[in-house]
Amino acid sequence: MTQPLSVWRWAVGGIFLSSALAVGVWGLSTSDVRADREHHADQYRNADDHDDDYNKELRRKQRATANVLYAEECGSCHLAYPAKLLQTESWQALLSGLDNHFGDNAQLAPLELNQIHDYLVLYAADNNSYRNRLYSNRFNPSTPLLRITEQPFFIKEHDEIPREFVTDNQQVGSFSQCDSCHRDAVKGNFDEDQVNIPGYGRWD
Amino acid sequence: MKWSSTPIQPPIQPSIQTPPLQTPSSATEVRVWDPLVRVFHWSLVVFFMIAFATEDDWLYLHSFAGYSITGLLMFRILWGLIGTRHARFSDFITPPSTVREYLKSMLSGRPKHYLGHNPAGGMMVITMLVVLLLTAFSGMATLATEGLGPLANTFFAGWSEDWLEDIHETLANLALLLVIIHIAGVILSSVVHGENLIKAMIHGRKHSQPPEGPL
Repeated sequence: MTQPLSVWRWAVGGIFLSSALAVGVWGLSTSDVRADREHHADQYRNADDHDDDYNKELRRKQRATANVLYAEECGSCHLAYPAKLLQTESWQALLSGLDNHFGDNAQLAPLELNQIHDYLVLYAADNNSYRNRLYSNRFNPSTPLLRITEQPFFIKEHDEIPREFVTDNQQVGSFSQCDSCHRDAVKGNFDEDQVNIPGYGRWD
Repeated sequence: MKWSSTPIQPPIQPSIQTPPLQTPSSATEVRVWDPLVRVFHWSLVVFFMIAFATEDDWLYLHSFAGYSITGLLMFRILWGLIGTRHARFSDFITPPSTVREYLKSMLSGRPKHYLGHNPAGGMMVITMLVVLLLTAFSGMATLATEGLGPLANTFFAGWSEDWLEDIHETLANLALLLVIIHIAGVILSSVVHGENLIKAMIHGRKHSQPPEGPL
């Protein structure tokens, strides 16, 4: 006998199918998706959307300048740590205390400080959080952690490294010397297959 | 015309609303793919393309395309159990020998005609469902290793991220290969049977042509 498919089957099927589609449509439409793109950082992106080419180009140059400035000013004493390794709050707390920067005076002129601040915040771990998902700290402590070596991701990623590889290794000395082992650290590349520990060789 | 939940015997009392599925006239159009199957099919196409194109550059978008695909697959499995006649697994899962026979008959140029999925198409549906399910699972397990997604903080979070990513990528590439074979099969079938199977997946209707394949 030909029997029409009962209503409950259509209903159950319809609910399953529409929930699946709802997930996709919701995911496509939420603003975070758009925030996930390359150029990000709200203040620049929003401005970019409403501005002419001349101003866009100007801002692009400003960002490039800030990058160079950061590499020069901060990179003269230590590795210019990639901005993605710290959260916005950590960078801000760090920059507001440069007169006592882990025991040293590292004060900057206000103009340069501002440019470097904008640059670091633009690429901080919590901006563009999906690209930087490994480094961002979802548990936002009340006082920002200033040291990269105190960040949860750092502790988790380095918990298998014996003392003699780093702290007791005369060629390294401290976990803060990222580029001793991560050869491309300055470019922000911390892939495991790039690691080469002085005196001990490759890690992978 | 109604969607049937049970294989149709020649109706005892044909009415205008429910004409018999098998008629002597080859011009008779019958509904084969119900609306849910069609929406499922094309949604899967869209979300698969999104997922494949975004990879981990736009991870948020990629994850949601993946979740959506997972939901679609769950719907399809459910619909394969309780859905309309040609959507049911029982309608198109055949033993491998039948698939071989069908492919042979295709080479001879006179393939048997099936109203729903032909045996080779049915096997492709199952293969794709399995491969896509595994792809979705391996993707969510990869997310879990970074503390993200629905499987975060489960047992799977302890698996090796590198392995999972490799597996996920391999499965996704395999799925793409299956898609290509599927499209080739659809085109080939359309030609040898003289029917437009792509259109049939859009409007849901097919010509009921004798000789009809086994039901």
